[in-house]
Amino acid sequence: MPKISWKEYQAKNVFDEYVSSDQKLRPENKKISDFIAKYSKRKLLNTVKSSERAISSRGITFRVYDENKPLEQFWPLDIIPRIVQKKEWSKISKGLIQRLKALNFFINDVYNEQKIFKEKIIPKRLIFDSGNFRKECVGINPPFKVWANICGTDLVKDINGEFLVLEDNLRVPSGVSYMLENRIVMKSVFPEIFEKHKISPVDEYCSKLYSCMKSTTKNKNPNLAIITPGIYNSAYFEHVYLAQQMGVELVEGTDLFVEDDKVFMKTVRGKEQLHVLYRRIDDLYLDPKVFNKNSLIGVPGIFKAWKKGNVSILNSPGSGVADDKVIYNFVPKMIEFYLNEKPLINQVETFLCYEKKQRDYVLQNISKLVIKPANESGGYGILIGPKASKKELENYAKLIKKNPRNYVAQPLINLSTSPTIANDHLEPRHIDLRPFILSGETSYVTQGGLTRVALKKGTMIVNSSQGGGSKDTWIIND
Amino acid sequence: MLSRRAKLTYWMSRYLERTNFTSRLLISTNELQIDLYLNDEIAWKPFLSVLGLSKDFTKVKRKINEKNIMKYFISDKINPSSIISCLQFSKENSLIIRDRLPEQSVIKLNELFLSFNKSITKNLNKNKYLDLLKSVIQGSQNFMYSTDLEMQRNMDYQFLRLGRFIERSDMMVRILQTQTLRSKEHSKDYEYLTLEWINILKSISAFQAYRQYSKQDISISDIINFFLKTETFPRSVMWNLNQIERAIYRISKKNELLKEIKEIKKAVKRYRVQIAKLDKLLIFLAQIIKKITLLDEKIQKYYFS
Repeated sequence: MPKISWKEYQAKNVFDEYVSSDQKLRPENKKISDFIAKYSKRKLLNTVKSSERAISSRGITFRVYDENKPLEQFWPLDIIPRIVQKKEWSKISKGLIQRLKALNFFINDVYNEQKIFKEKIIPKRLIFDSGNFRKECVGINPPFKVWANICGTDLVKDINGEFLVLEDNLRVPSGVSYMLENRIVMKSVFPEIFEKHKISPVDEYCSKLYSCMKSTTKNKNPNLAIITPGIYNSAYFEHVYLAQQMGVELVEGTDLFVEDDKVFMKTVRGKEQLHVLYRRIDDLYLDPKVFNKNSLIGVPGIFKAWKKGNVSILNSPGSGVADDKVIYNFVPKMIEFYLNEKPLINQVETFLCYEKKQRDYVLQNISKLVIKPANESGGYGILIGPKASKKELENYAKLIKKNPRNYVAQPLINLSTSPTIANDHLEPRHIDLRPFILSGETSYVTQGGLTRVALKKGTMIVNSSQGGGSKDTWIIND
Repeated sequence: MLSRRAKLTYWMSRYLERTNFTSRLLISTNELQIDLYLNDEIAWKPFLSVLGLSKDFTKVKRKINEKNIMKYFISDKINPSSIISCLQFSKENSLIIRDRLPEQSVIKLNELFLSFNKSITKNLNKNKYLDLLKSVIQGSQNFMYSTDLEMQRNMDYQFLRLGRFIERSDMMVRILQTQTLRSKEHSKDYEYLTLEWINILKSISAFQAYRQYSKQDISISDIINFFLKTETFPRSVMWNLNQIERAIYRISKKNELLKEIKEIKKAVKRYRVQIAKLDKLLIFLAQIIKKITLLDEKIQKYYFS
């Protein structure tokens, strides 16, 4: 049976993680690429099968909706790892902490002093027009003035191999459980590599999250919980996983009630007070008394309990105000304004359609740009200009003219590629990376993160809900 | 412990226990039919009637025979008591509460469901489906074993036990009902009646324990007493009632529930088996089932609402 050959692997006009532009194996990843080259095609396919068996027996699934019907699918993992050198990651980690720090200063400023508007760094109207601004949060100060305790930042590498921030997910970022499960599966199928190389472990995330949650209450023996919309949510696997790893309760809205502005759980022995809640539901659905009145998954009265400081909620309601693709454009300015520092990680150039000049540029060049709605997530509503039909471009132009505040445009970044198994050989596929950052009393960044991969040849949509897969990310210090 | 989670744990456990008993009953009835040349009606009718499924079955399938019964109880997703339905309910509950279950238990249950679900899509011959039923017994026992070894003795564990023992005591009484009904169908000079009762003992792997307990010639009334009253065998009705009592005591010492369970125990203890009066035995067994159902309703009311 023939062996895996790197000579057959062609990655052109792109930054590839294993192969340089002259088609030579990158020396920093050579130990891993040599290891892969020792595999015969049959052995590699057998390893793929072992990984699939491990995923199915561990029940690692996610849910997608096909014509509104829920479909449970096994988690797609490509077993060729994505590699980042430890030195490079240390720099990125610092940049991610810097970024989240500035974003939290910003959110706290928006709901309190509003200095950044007074100094005219960001136009005030952008905030009040944002679908994620919650006027009910004005005047509130959460513990440590941290609003977004958990952040998932999407990073991409451009043609030069430089990491750039693509977006900050500050509402309910998901994916961390898959990062952790990917590692368990990879350790079971490639134990020999883990023995030989210094691959940074990822499994301390849950204990760090636990400490982060606990740090937000003064109660010495607090009850902690995660609130989930329920089993039909696409990220339910993750909700369960995190509750399990932290040993905290996994609750649904109906398990909780509010009495005297305190939150209680319904237990078999009566009521029990809850002190910290990690919400995995959108803040609009959190409290029908304050936000969406039709919400059946929330807890009536919880907002007031939070406002009074009787329960901590992570991420704080209202923190999504910084999770907006228009606000994203201003993050480098925030870093300079609040921290008096230069950004350690660059971000993708962004055109704001609400500004006439920029909008005109976008409309003239729509076929070359990527257009994104300001408040969507999961890759929905994105138009990739170079791949769109004429009719799609026209329709999108109409949408932009109708509501310019809701759209931003970015140049099409040719995302870096990584070798991925296609049938019985390796082919380059585009990837991104979502590390997770925690902020409470202290800060923490995962070692690597969830590498997402566009499994279809030539596409750049990496979201699992739209045919994307994943890779284990190895931070290597050899 | 969250009331909702208690309910999910309880039912996960009950459904899984049910798959174990249904598999055992299907295997033993099948053996009985082979060994004693029983016709389909005598072999399977009591089985359907005791599980309360006679009407449902005849609605879906016309004829009572081994092939139809097996299909109905193994792979029919419309039958909520079929093994595939129970495994699915149990697995789904376990996934909702997997944060509180040992990782290996969830994996074992998930694997059991996946392999069972895959097997039933194939055309099964008799040997294959008997093997499949044995794998369900083994799989559900593996799950129990890993929870016994790896779970903290906390409330989750007590609800897991409560579900298991309520289901087991209910199923044990139903097994007795099945064989009592079958016994009634036979003529007075039927020579293999004792053998049928021994087969029932074997179906729950209790024959050896019965022999050690009885130390007498085998008698049907002795077997029934063993099923009902022995406090040392983990499948007897009394042993299970004791476990239910213990679990409730550890959960909350709820007096009303404890009173209820004491009354059932008293009734079982007092009952004198008279093999000549099978009708009386059937009435008694129906009463016990009713009392267990009432207890289950109260458990739901006190802990889950």
